[in-house]
Amino acid sequence: MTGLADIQARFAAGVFQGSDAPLADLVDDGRQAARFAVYRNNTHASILDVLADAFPTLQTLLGDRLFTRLVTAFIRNAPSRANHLLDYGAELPGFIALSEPLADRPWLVDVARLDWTRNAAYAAADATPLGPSALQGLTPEALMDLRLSLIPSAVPLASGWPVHAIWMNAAAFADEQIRPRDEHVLVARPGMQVETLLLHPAEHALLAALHGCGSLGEAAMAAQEADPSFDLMTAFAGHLSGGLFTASEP
Amino acid sequence: MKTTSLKSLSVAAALMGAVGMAAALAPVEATAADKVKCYGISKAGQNDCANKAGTHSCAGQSTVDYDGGEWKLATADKCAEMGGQQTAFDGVNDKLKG
Amino acid sequence: MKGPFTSLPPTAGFGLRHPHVLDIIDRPPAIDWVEVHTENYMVAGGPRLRQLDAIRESFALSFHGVGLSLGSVDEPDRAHLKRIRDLVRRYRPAALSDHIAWVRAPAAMDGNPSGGPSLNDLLPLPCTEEAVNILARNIAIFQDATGCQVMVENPSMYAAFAGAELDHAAFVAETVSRAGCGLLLDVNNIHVSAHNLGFDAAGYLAEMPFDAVGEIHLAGHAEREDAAGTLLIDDHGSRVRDAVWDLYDQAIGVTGPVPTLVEWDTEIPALDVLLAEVATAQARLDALPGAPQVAS
Repeated sequence: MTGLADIQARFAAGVFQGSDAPLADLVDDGRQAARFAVYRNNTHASILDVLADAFPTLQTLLGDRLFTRLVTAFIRNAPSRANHLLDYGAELPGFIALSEPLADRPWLVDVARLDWTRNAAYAAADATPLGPSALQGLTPEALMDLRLSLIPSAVPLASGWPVHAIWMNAAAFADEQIRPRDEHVLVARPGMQVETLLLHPAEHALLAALHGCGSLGEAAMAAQEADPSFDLMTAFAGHLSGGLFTASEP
Repeated sequence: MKTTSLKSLSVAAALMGAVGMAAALAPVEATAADKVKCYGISKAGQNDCANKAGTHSCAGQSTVDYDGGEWKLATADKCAEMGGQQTAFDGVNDKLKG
Repeated sequence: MKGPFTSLPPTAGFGLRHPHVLDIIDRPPAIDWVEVHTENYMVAGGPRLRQLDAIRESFALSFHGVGLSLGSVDEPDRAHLKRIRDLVRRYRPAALSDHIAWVRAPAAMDGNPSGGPSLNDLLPLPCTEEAVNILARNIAIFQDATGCQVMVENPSMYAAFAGAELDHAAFVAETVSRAGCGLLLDVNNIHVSAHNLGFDAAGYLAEMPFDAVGEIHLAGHAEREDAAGTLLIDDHGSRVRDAVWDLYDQAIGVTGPVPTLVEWDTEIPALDVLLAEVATAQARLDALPGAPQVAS
């Protein structure tokens, strides 16, 4: 009699490796071994659906056939520990970085990161944003020393590829048209809608410094250093009224 | 020193100005009782939230729809060597790797 | 066995899936309850929870899990249990359930400290004493961690393992009895398993512990030809078949009115089509002897 741990390990190997061989002697009736294919199909098809939903830009760029091959390889080589699907796929951008068949398309890692960051923003904790009124009346010194956090869903991203343009209209980008170009993006969900905004490089420096727990003054100085002509006032005002900030934990 | 403090003065002034400007802009809390916006379900289009349908099912799938084939993986070391800004990926399971 | 295993009303509801969420918030149909997959709400915040807040205003909730992997040799994942408990505290569902199945491979398979890999599918167990014991242990952990009396759902099977020590119905009945939990009786799963494994569906049903039944599931299935003949696939992608309605009538003939759920997960139809199926189930509940007569 085969123990349950052994059955489950062999069954899982058969599903991940796409082979019936580990399963053949687990069944009485040889014809039934082929039926384990149903479980393999369920696993692959359901994860394919989930990742297609989670990585729509990546799927469009790769096309269905290559995306399916990627997902199959991902399931086989890096089976996820996530037992709820909103976590499923966090490792895919890193997996792409190691995938030799995609090595000639280095932008895919950043595209996948952007797709995943949007998923994470969708499920991130809600926050009560800090409104402008909370900052009114502060002295310039107090304002400079202020520790502001970005709301939990907000992540500033930097890429050496035009990831925002690709995300806007992936279908329009053939591989040979993609050239290196720095782009900065903010993903955030100030209310219930996930926003994906193209940032000025200095604006990215501002938000990245706040994301990294710098003071508002340090963040603003970083932005001015990135580009002295940057309109800090308008950019900060826009994000403040847009609900991008919360008070830092003391 | 002097230039630094001049810079920080101008930065502080910009921040002070921004606080005033933000107060005059739209309030943070949306007041519109728009259901679509409230429940975060976008209309079709690029802002449609990617994860809307990535839901669990307890159903089986009646069709086969996957394609295997060889898929070579670089080692994490090689990836770091190539200077990728991505963090090294440690999720690959060596025992399962073909 | 203690019970009751549910405080759902003994009426027909449906499994709420994403395409219908806004519809039922906007125009709540005249049903008492809906069921959601617990894992779909395991988020820190955002639209999913906001939607569930609104849904709860109009309907009683049943939380039906697909990810706890009660049949795994490893104990249920503590972080997963905590997420369930947090959702139970926030939403106070009228029923809480998962499956007689396993989803995660053993952690020992590759020694990953975060547990075995997930196969994202409800996988079959061998009908052995060992499996019954493991299920009973894990269900007890599930009940302790949530403070709820839970139900477990009988599986749909496509293949059977060698070395069975109990028949399929006895395996389910023994699990429920030893765990002291409720049974979420899926009559479509009985029909699908009986066909695929060559046993008698009515005989299986007759062996079920009806005292423990807190809810019944109905769904459609698909047919596929393979080398061993016609295989039924539990795809929840069509209307409930006549043979499954017959099993349902037999079941409620014994249990009396029971909360009954229509599941439709693939090829999801317009809400009207789903509600028509719910109405069919409700009509069968209403036709039971002693059911309240609805004025027409």
